[in-house]
Amino acid sequence: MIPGAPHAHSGLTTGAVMQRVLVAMLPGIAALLWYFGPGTLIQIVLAGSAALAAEALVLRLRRLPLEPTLADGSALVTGVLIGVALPPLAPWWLAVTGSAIAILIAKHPYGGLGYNLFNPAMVAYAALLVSFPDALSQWSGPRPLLPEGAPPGLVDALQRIFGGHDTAPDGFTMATPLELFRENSGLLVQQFYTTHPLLARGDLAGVGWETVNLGFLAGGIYLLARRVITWHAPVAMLAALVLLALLCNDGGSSASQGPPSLHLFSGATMLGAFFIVTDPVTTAASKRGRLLCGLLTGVLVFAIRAWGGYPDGVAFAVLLMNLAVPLIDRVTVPRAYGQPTRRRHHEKAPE
Amino acid sequence: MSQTWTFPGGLLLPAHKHASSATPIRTAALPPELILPLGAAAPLIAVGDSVLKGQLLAAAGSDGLPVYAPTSGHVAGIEFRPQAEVVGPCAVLIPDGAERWIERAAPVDPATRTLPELLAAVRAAGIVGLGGGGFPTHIKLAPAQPIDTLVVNGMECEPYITADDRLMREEAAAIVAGVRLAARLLGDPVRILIGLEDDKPQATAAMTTALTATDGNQKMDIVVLPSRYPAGGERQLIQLLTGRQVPSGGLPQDVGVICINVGTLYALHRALAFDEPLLSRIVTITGGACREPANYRALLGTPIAHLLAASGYQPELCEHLLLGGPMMGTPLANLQAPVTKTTHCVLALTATELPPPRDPQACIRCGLCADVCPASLLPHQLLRHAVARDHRQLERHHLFDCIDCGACAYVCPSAIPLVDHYRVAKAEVRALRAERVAADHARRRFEAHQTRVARQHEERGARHAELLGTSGVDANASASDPVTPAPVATDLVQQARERAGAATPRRAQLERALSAAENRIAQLETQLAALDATATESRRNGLRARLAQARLDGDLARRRLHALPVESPSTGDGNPQ
Repeated sequence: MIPGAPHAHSGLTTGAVMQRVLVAMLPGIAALLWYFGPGTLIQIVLAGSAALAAEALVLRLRRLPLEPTLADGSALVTGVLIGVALPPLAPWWLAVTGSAIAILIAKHPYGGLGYNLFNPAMVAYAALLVSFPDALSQWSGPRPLLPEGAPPGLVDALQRIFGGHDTAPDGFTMATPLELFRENSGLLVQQFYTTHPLLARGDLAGVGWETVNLGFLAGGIYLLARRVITWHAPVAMLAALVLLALLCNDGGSSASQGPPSLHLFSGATMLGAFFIVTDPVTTAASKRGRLLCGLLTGVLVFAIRAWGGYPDGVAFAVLLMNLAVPLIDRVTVPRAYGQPTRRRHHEKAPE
Repeated sequence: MSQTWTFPGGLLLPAHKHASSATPIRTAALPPELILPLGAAAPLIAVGDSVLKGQLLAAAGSDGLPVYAPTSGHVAGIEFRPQAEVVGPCAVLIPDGAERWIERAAPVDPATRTLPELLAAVRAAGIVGLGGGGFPTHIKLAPAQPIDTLVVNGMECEPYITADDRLMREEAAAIVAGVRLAARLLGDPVRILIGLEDDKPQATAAMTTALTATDGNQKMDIVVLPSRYPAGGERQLIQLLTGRQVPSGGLPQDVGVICINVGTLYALHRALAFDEPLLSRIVTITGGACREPANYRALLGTPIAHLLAASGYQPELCEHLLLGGPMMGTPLANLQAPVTKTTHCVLALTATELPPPRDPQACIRCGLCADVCPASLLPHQLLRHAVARDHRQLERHHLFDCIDCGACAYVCPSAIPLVDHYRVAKAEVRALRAERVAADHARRRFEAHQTRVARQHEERGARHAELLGTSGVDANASASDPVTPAPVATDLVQQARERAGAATPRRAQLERALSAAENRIAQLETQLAALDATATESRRNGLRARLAQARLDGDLARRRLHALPVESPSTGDGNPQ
């Protein structure tokens, strides 16, 4: 094909877009490291390098050039997302297996970058969650609640991650706010918030967890400002969560599903809203489609948290929505310039 | 100031306009030769003839309008010369430098002339849309529908180009006079809106002065709009100024608007007030490979190389030579191509100004393209369907509302040449549509033929009956003689109706598909046979692939037809069971 107009180009590259995504994850990662120790960093390095290695392997097998695709950073972003989602002291093979699943199963069989139907990081997380539920629920407690006053150091974390089963996470392990809330019975929300130290020492949704979520929120705002993502999906998802939480909040009885702040600032809410639901490859194409996608993801996340079998539901909700995206894309084609408006369209229809 | 609206999407582009907008319009020196495309019409001059400025050379050029000699001189040849995009018969005129005009009648005050006279004069002057559209102005000025708004396009939104900007600074009064003439021809629209981008303060000032200086009874408004590509696109400007959207596939006049470029209005004024045909236009010559970027008043037919040379063109620095702007221009391969009525800019860009295109990468559906699309399309979805050649989805995603502005490809982080994909897809869909029309036409002709044969047969039968003097029953019997067992005419007509109409939609559809496929096979076979040795392998393979596809389509339709339950012609409704 002879290259035609336009001849000018903005100079923006896919690599630059991915770089901005990585930069935007820094505040959230920093909060994770502060509250939960350097384990997350090790998980990120593990998952990131495994993702790159898997990507290189597939590219080699598919006889595609390595350099442009590895350099665009998409595999790295997938790996980092997996690393962030894993418990900081999870054994090393979890991160490696996760990255391998993401790249080898969720990404390339569909055609590689841009063609995968499901978000690779979420496929990996969901696969690990159903295969190794125990290992995935071993989150250590946040810094202020630990008896030593600090999470395990780098050497300790390395030993635990690479040490094998006999040094499985022990005293550090602590339930996450969402897990706590699931197990709540017989306490009013008010009482629950004051009696449990994790929630009592936080302002919104548990000490540590709320800061991590605020960190990812900050990163999300950066992505919005750099126009890497649009507001539609995240705002719709968060709005759905808040609305449903309010709707199910019967004045704070023990049967309520938790206040909106708990749903907004705990678990993977902000990571999901700004880094997962916005994944361009697997979300809807149009703005209206993205609104719908975000909204339904929020509904599913809340439903899984409130009535499902898992304390958090971002990964499953996202995967279910990914499945619906082709259909959403079909019904949300925007009206192009000069096309009849919907009303005029209906008036014409009987002809 | 009148109300303005916005259009979706759009881009802020680096303007690069100062290089050429700073200097006044220069008049290019007479080139050694002028190349004047003649179109298909027979020239009215012969080689060796002396011609005068403004003398008619051919009754109709490639745009269907008369071709004039832009200056005096002699005709050195009538031959095939390459133009920017085509090669065609051209008159080669060697100027004599005397600039002797042909004898002209003294100009008549346009105010005293009737509208048909004025329109005829616009046509005779050979004026077309000079903003790049090239649409004949006398047709635009005689709309079939009532016009309430005249939009004057002085936006010039593409980077580098400053031809309209300079013209407005220097000839504002003439442009305003042209606006008044156009308004009169359009039956004095209620509103006249002059759209200008906010990066042209001098032009705006000049136009404002010209407006206040003339005391027309017509109210005109200058509306300054933010610079945002492609705000100067006709459809976008109409939306910005009136809030109306030109219907898809329609014309501005469908919403009561006519939009004319300032350069065209200037030419209109010259033509009607001075009886001057369109002999020259303003061309921007700019880019980093030109030492002295400037605008030129260039005679039509001036070789582009001549203007480039005047601007200090440095071929060794030039990486891209474009006809038009960086967003919608086309690569210019031949420097000897002449300036035509639609040549508004020649861009000689260096490698630093315009780096060579990167290799395209996979689309990550980031949606930046959809954010900037002024037609509210989903370029990433269009790409997907264009690659898959899913024509139904392409039309559902309004491929044909794409205006080729290039905003999507400009922002694409994967450097995908989106507009190229759309151009190919549009050509494919158009070809298929034409094929379908041709097949339908053939089918209708065939049915008409069958009906005719049947009627003749019946008439013959009736004549036989008359001659034999037998009863009507016998006539019918003789009509269905065993040699040619033609069905009764009414049945045939009925069948034809059923085939064409909705009586048996499935069968009709399949038959249409079958005949379309057979047509396509025949066409492709001839095309394939007609390919000579110079045809590229990819073209040959493309034809072969399409042929194979057509055969598959035909087989499928045939098999499905056979599988349909056979219906007797007597069951009029013919509903498939």
